Amino acid sequence: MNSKISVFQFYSILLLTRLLITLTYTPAYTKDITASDMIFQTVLRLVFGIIITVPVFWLNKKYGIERRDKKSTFNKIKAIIFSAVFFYFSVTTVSRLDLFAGTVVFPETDVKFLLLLVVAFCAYGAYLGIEPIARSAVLFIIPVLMSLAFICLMLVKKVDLLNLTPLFYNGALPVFKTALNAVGRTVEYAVIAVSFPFVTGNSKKGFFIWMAVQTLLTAVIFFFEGTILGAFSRMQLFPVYTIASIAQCLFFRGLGTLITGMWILCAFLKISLLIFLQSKLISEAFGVKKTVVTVTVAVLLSAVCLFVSGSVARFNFLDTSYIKFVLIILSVPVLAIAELIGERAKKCVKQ
Amino acid sequence: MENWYRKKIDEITAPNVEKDEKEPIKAEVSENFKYLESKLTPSFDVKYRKSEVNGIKFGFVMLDGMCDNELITEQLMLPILNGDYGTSDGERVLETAADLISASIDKSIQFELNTAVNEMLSGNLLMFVEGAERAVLFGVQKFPKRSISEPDSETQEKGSKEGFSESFKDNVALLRRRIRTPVLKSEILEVGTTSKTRVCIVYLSDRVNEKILASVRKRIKNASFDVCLGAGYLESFLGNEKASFFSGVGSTERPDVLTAKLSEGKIGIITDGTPYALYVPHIFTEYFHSLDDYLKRPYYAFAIRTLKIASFFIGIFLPGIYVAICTFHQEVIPESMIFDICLQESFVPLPVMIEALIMHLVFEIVKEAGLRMPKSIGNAVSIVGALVIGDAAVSAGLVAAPMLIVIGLTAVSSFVIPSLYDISSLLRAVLIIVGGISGFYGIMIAFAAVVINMTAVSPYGVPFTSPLSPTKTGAWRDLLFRSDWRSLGKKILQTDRLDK
Amino acid sequence: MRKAVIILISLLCVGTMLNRNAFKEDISNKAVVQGVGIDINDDGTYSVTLEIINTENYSNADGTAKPVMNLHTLKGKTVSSAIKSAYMIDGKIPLLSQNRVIIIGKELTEKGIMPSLDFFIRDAENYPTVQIAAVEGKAEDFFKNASSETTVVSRNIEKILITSDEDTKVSSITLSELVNRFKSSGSSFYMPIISTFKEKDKQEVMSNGTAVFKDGKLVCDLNEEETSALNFLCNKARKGAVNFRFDDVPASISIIKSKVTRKVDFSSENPNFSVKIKLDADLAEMDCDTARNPSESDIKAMGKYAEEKIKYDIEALCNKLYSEKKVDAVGLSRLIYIYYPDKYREKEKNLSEIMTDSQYSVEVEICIRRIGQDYSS
Repeated sequence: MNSKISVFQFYSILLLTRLLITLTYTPAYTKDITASDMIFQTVLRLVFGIIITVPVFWLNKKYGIERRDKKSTFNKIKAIIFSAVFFYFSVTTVSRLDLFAGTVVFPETDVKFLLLLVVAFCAYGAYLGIEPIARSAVLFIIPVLMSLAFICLMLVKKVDLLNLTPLFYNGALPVFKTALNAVGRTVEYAVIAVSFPFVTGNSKKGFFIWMAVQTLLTAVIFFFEGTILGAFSRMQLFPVYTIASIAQCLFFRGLGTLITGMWILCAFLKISLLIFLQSKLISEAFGVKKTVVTVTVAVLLSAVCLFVSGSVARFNFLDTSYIKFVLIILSVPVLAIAELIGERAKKCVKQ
Repeated sequence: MENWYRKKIDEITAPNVEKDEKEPIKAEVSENFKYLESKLTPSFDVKYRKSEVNGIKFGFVMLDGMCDNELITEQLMLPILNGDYGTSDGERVLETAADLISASIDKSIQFELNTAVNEMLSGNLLMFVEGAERAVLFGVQKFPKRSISEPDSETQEKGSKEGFSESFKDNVALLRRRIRTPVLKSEILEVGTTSKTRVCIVYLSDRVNEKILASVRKRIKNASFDVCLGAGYLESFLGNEKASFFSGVGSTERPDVLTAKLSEGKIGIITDGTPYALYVPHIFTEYFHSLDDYLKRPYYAFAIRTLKIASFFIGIFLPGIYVAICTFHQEVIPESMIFDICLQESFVPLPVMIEALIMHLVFEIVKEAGLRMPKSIGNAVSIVGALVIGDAAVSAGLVAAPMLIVIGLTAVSSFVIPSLYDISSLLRAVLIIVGGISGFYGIMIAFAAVVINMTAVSPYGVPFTSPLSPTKTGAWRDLLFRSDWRSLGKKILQTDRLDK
Repeated sequence: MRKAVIILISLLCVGTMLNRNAFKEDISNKAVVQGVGIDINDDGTYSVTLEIINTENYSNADGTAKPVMNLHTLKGKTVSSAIKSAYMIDGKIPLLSQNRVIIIGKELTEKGIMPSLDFFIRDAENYPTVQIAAVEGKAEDFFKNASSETTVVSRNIEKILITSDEDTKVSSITLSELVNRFKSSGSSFYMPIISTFKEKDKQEVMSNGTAVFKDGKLVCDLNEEETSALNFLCNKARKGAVNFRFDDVPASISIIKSKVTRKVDFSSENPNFSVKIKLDADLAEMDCDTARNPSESDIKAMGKYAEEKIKYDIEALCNKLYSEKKVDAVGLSRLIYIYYPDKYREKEKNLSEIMTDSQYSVEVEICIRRIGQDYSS
């Protein structure tokens, strides 16, 4: 497993996976928050994001990437924790896609087989390795960003600034909560924490650029959503899809299909990446064959997603913000701080 | 079970070739003839001839039809049979006889009969002299061969009209004419245990990547098959993408295109008997480039390349998208078209997906028939195809007119890049099925899978999707837009990206 | 491994195909709905009229063409159940994504329309940009009167409403706008009124006024001039004509460009709304006996008359909506929400009274750019 990818490729993947979250966000998670607050909280989440990743970058800078034997007990525990986090997020991503397909694309239809098809294709992507995933991300980023820009351009005429709202109308707390909630939904921080061994280049610089770009994109999307749909967006399950479906180019309407396309490309990359990372971490820590782990993860993922697919209540439970927040905090700053302390203690003992 | 089956298959299909043992050439001509007859009989085209000059016996063996009889009579037999040798020592006579022959004819001394026979079977004339334990081979080949003609599938507007032919020597000569430099190297290898087909590796030694070159040599040497009837046999050995739609091995019928590829540091592989050459490493963006792009103004090249890319995507996606729209995403249909599409499709007894698949199949049948059948009746197929599929099917209500337009446009688009036809035809069928089953959702998943499959291809360490991904902005000046020759200057070598 | 993956994916494809029964979703198996009319019955059930493309649109034996559209009226306890029952007529599933317009009958507008729109908000197949309009009688009767062999009524209505930008006398609202206004402008919104008229033995469709709603129920109707004022106030009057009298003859200017600035000042006890309208216009017509080239002072005077006319209409509308009907169909209260959020929060409950006591000042500035063909008197 010596494949390496560049910082640009790596953050291209993360930009797309992050964009997926924005495109598929549901107002149900953002109660009591108004249109302008939604735009503002993107800046807050950027700050929170930087704060929680500081220990990871610090650890990497101070002790390098090859700190200990890959098969050490600590690494095994770390692999298990990260794999669990990635598995959890894989399940929520697939289930969300399933919810979207079942609600918007194929209403009133059972989409279980489609779900399995997606997992099978993503497992294939993960099996091919990180290089193809990264190269695909760079290829996908062009049409995805172009589609987004095109849709925004088609929507400019429909922007109504009167749909904006006073900042902190319902207080600052919901804004902070939403921002923290968003941080909890950002599995990319956990991905960054395990990515240093296979990414070449200035990761810190890439991280800041990525943060800035994704914040800008998210703010733009929320701006269009808020100013075009106004209160109607709060009543939509997938408001970004709704604004895209309002867009019209000449006699073509229904640009929501473009969003569907972007969404699926991003989801494909995200699920492939998460399966790949699970197989990489487990195979390195426990010496199991990568293909075996990939297949096992895919089978488990399919089984859990099929179970979740049966009911919206199960999905809502699974998608709870608190669980995700705890998982991200545990796997990103807490684990990094624990490792920092451990490394420091080891150094002291040596001295 | 699988291994046992494979072993059995190998046993059955193993070429029945006797192992070449080393057989020294004997001093007696008749002994050598005996040996040759035992090896070659029955072969009506092998001609044996014995002559005697001043008491010295000469023996000649050649293949009728593969040698230039006029050359043999005038420049070979005449000097040898009229020669003054002044000695009866076979060895010295052989050397003198060889010296008498004009320098324009290739000569080589052979000590071993089996090698000599193999060379003779390539169209050389084998000469024995009584008393000499050596033989001389004269290069007097004259094969029945096709003259150089314009390539069929890579026609250019402004480029040369010369294309590769089946004679690999002629093909190398065509390259030599375009690159007059000592750095153009050509190495001969042999493939096929029975056919012993000659394969020539050509490259420019000052820019070729030695690792890739060594790898190509190794792969060709390790290519194990019985008979090689075309360069396509080698393709699977030269590329290592077993489970991909795309190949990292390119092919061209044009010597000027191969010259351009060699100048980029690539390696050409010319196979005897094949009217096209292979080259490695081959990347995806090359499909959209043609010689005309470089011979015309840059903005024209940009327009043409854009058109090609659009055609490629239309050729793959259009029927799938049409099926997806008619089956799941009717909201996308423009207001002005919904009425007509709805009306037309409602008369067709088949679901849109099946209708598209059948039309696709029918088109492929017509295409195959047009390709394989004698040219004189090829037109009839086109007419029947166009009438039956087009007019009659629509009139009978078996096919909707919009579907016919979609399939027609798709077919025309996929011929814009003939080298991608096979891929686009296959993907088109897949996307029709996927679009019919799961709409845009499925199409995008399939598209993503195809892209990741493509990005996994890395011929000789060069990513197939470079310079797009991994991004190599320096090479973008000849990607979609081609810079002017003044600034294009020295093109970036694709092999620079070798990461193995 | 590779073979296993190929077999698995093939099986999944086949399974999906069989499971989805995709062929049933084909366009040939769908009834493409172009317009929906909703009425409420006395027993509380809904009558939904669907204008569906007639896919058997070939000629009859006698050579006469069949109508391009079919009209089906269906009943149901909910709007969705009525629409879904269209399946019973010809075995085709109704396709709503191509729906152009939702027409609501008078009775339903009086009883409250929001419950009947829930299906259109909830169902993903429905487009959020579908136009909504009201009719004087029953929606079913409207469709029956307006339809003919060659017309698609819903498309004509949509075209009229979409081109409201070109005519200040036509208002329009889409589903998403309606819901947005309902949720954010004191539960008030408006929608155009559509009617039919006879012309050369043929029924034509036209828009004649606007219906104003509060809490989903009809409050009042606006005539053409009030609709024009409403469009000015909502910053939706992009183009169209302004009619006035000049020298006792009718005159008209056509708008080229408009800019509306709405402001609120809530520093005192009651808010003071100021609306500033700037128009660039061309002189369209001046019905005097002899055509004459207007002088500089004539042009200025005409601008003044037009300004007065618009100002008068807007003030009259504000008076009608805010003082008489106590409804904020224009959405001016939104300005308080944006610029004075604390005061809005404080007075949210008695907003209609606040709006009644508010001051409304209108300023109109018209610049007549061109006067048409220059011919000497």
